[in-house]
Amino acid sequence: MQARWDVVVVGGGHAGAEAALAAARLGKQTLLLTREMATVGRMSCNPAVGGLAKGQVVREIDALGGAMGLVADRTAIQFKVLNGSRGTAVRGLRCQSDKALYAQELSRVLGAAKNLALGEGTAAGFLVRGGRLAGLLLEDGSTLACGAAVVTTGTFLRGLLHVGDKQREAGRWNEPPARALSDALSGLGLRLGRMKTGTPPRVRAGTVDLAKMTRAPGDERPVAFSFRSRGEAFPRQRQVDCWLTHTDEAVHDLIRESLPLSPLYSGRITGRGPRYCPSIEDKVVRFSDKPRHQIFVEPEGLSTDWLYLNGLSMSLPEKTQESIVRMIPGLERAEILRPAYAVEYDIVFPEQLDVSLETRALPGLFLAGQINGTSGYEEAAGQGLVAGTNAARSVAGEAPLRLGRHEAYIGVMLDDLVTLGLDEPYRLLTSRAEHRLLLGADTAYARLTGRALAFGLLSEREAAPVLDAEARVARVTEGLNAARVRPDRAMKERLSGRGVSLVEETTLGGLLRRPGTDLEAIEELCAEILEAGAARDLAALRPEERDRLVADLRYEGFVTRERDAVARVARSLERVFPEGFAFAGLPGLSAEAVEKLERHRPRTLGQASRLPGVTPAAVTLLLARLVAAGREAAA
Amino acid sequence: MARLVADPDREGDVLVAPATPPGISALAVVRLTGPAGATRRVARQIARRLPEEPRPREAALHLLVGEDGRPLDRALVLFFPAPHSATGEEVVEFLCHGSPAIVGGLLAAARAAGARPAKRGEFTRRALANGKLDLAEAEGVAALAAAENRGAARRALSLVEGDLSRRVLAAKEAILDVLAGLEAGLDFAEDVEAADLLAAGAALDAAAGEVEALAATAARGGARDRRKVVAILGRPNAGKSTLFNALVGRDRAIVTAVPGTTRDAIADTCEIGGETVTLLDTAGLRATEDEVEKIGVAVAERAGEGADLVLYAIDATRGLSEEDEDFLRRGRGEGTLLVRTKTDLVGASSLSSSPAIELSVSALIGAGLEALRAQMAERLSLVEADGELLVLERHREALASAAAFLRDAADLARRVPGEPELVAARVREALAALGAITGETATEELLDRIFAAFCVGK
Ligand SMILES: Nc1nc2c(ncn2[C@@H]2O[C@H](COP(=O)(O)OP(=O)(O)OP(=O)(O)O)[C@@H](O)[C@H]2O)c(=O)[nH]1
Ligand SMILES: [Mg+2]
Repeated sequence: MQARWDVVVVGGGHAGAEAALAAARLGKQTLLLTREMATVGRMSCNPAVGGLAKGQVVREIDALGGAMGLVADRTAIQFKVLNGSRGTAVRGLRCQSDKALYAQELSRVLGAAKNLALGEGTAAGFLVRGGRLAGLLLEDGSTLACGAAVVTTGTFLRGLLHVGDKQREAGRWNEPPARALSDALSGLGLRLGRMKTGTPPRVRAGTVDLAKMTRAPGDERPVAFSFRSRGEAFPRQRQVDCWLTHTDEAVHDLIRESLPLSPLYSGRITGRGPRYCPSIEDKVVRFSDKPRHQIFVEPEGLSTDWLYLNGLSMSLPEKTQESIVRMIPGLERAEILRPAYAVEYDIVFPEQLDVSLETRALPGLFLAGQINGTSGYEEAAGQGLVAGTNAARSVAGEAPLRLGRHEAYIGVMLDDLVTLGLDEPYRLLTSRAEHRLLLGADTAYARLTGRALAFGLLSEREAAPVLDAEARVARVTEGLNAARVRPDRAMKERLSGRGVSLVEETTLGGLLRRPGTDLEAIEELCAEILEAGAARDLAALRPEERDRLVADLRYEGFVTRERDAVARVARSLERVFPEGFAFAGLPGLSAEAVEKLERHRPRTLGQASRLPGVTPAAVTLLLARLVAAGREAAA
Repeated sequence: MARLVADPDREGDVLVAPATPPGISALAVVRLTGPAGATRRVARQIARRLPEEPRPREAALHLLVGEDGRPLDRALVLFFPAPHSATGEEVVEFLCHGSPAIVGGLLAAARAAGARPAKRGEFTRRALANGKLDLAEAEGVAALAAAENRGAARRALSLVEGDLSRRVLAAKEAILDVLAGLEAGLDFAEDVEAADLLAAGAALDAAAGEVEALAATAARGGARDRRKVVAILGRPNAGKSTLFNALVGRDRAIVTAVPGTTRDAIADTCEIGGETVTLLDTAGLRATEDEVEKIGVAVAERAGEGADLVLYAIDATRGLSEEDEDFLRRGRGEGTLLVRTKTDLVGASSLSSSPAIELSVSALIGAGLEALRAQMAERLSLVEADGELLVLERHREALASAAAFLRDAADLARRVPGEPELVAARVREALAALGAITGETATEELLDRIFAAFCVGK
């Protein structure tokens, strides 16, 4: 292995892969350091990519030149848009993945990337020179000099696996944990916390009675994550079904009886678990009035007989798990291939990071993924992309890429992480975004392609098809808004035949703005009265673009309002605290607020306002101080 | 807003102030607030037996001594360590006997021990600085400091005490419940059934009604934010200026027996129903060739048109003249109060010579003025209703836009096909508008609610 790199990425999971690809893409000599080459790109939990809010993140990663969307498209065995009947802003692109193919394809992409090398090794410490990261110390005693590093160790930091009362040290099933790195991070003055996550049992396909379950097929018209998939065969893999079954009262009784055996309830697990992805123990205890909980049975791949029991994560003893699984319709004779388990691991409290994901304790050191307390492949990948980009930029002495809350779910996530602090694993939800209507998956390219180009994450040639498509949608929209529809008798009759009433003169755009009027209903009319260029463009739109077009018209008023609100709030909340701003010296701030502000050192007033303990009144005081400071500076 | 910033030079002082109104009462409360330690040191100069570390929030009987070291009173002393006190600082309260002498002695003793008498609103300002108040409450502090009369002060105080904030929070609760249902259906589509939009619409309409009601109460209280104008009109020599002087409480306008004495409009203020009101004296109304007087009459008529209330003075010794009837016919109805003046000159029997006359006064001897003030208060709707709130223009706008967003959201919820994300967008705008009153955001509360109420996550 070469001894000097621009950027070293520690960890080959979803965060590490995107981080390494981004840094390499920006021309930096990059090393992806993984403990074991065979585990790169492994999906350690569910065999799926995307979902609500997460699908949007995958699109954002794609728009910023990342790999996740394309790899998911190529290896998916079922596509399904969640909330498919809802507006485009809240639809969640999702696919079931063939786990083995996914890891294989991601490894291939990594292997083919320019400026990127993969190496085996385990990081154990940091070399510091002049207050900046200078290299990594490896477990075998060797060192790697580098300009910047991204640590993406997932659940490996002091990982502890629980199955009932049995526990063993591991980062994932049968993979040893990372011990030294936790101490090294603490040694830098970083505060570590402990979190917990769980994964359900896997059962053998041949031992499951599908006839007792409900078929859950994918969409007839799969929607790809990546714009790059437009140029290749899609979907590439054979598409399969998932299956739906459920627990019942008898199962719940057994779980309740067995609670003393669960390390979650016996107090052996001290890390905090997520509220949104509760274990079955949690669900039964917290929602005791629910008679059943649904379980999705998901294949882990085309060439494996492993099935993933989505909804049944727990940490009860293996014997009890077997009894529980076998009480579930269709699983009476199921053979458990791997029991459910919970894993506890160290995290670094992310409020010690800048939104660029650089640690404040050691410039040049970036953290991404579960180590920052998040859950989910998509959240990890999104952070990896930002951290890799910023590691590369930090080596070059360039300002970091920062994404705003109104620009991307990734921006919402990073801002939440570095300002809110965590007490449970963080997952993105669309309700976390105050400007949800601006952040649909369909608008990711419109939102981010410009940033990708400016930061060199996409070349102009790569971006061309995206920009062309955006321009085409814009031209059609313009054409629809310009095409007048007069309420003469013939037109009225014609439209009412299609369930559209016409009272006063409008445009084709105006018709589409009405709820319930879809493009199909006025397709012929469009073809007739649209200006020829726009009509041609309309005919060339892909289905998703057609939906997007109508959504843009329908959302227009809402979107304008949200944009205005963003601009309004931005004016005051995006005020930046000058370098070395002394929160402690401010009269009128409570001790608690000062402590929080000094600890987090928010960059902007907006970040300050989201700190717990910083009251609205304190924000008012800070704003007053910033305004006064600005005036003094101007004078 | 800068006005809300605590006085930087004085942050470290120990403040002392009576917390109960002056006068004789069973009990009076005197409070100290200030930095930890320093406040106790002042307190221990007065209650010498008070331990260095008193037990928090526990009343103990102590002998209090004055600045000369002589006993003042035997009283309960309460200690509140920071930050769990009304101001967020260390607070010591003396519950002494309610005599002005004892309270005065306590204040003097505290001053001698190093405390400084608090300025108006200063306790609350400290509470604000320590995060004990939200934005609306903080604005109450500013309004309190600026209150120019009793009514305004009372409403400002209710704002400080959080009356508005509490009602806004109650409205928010209901709205958050609806939103949590919508959001859970969107964010956890696989686990939670989509919200019933019709039910959501009904709930949003109900919430809109609440917010509108709050805005209406607000409007009643807020109607006082603008100072009312009362103009005194009438024939020359009707006794207008004399009445004017009596109401404002000083000899502001010239009074003579010569008709046509007042030429220009004269303005001053008086307190009516606890509110400050602008009072205008004007030139007597008559047809005249005098150029100056002519202008004065025009000014008077314009003043009458612009006023919230006209006191129309009628000389009791002369009765209603043709000009008077003429003026009254032109009619202002509700906005005019007919006042018979100089009643000391006529017998009691002829008091109500005309049914149109509503009130009789003698400004000279001060008779009937109280009844007049009460009538004025009623006509100007300055009668205080119960539970009235101080609502600043900012709050009123926020409430109105929140109500509009909620109505809009309710309409969207009834639309087919349902678009919960659009309903949610409007509801969020409503919450943001309400949140702007108290100055907070809703996302975390919302997530807590979703996770508490819905079983989500596979
Ligand atoms: N006895 C008695 N005399 C009064 C009373 N009010 C006014 N007067 C007298 O009536 C005369 C006129 O009073 P003003 O108050 O100047 O009357 P005005 O309406 O202002 O007159 P102009 O300014 O000339 O229009 C003065 O001599 C007053 O002393 C009253 O209540 N009782
Ligand atoms: Mg006069």
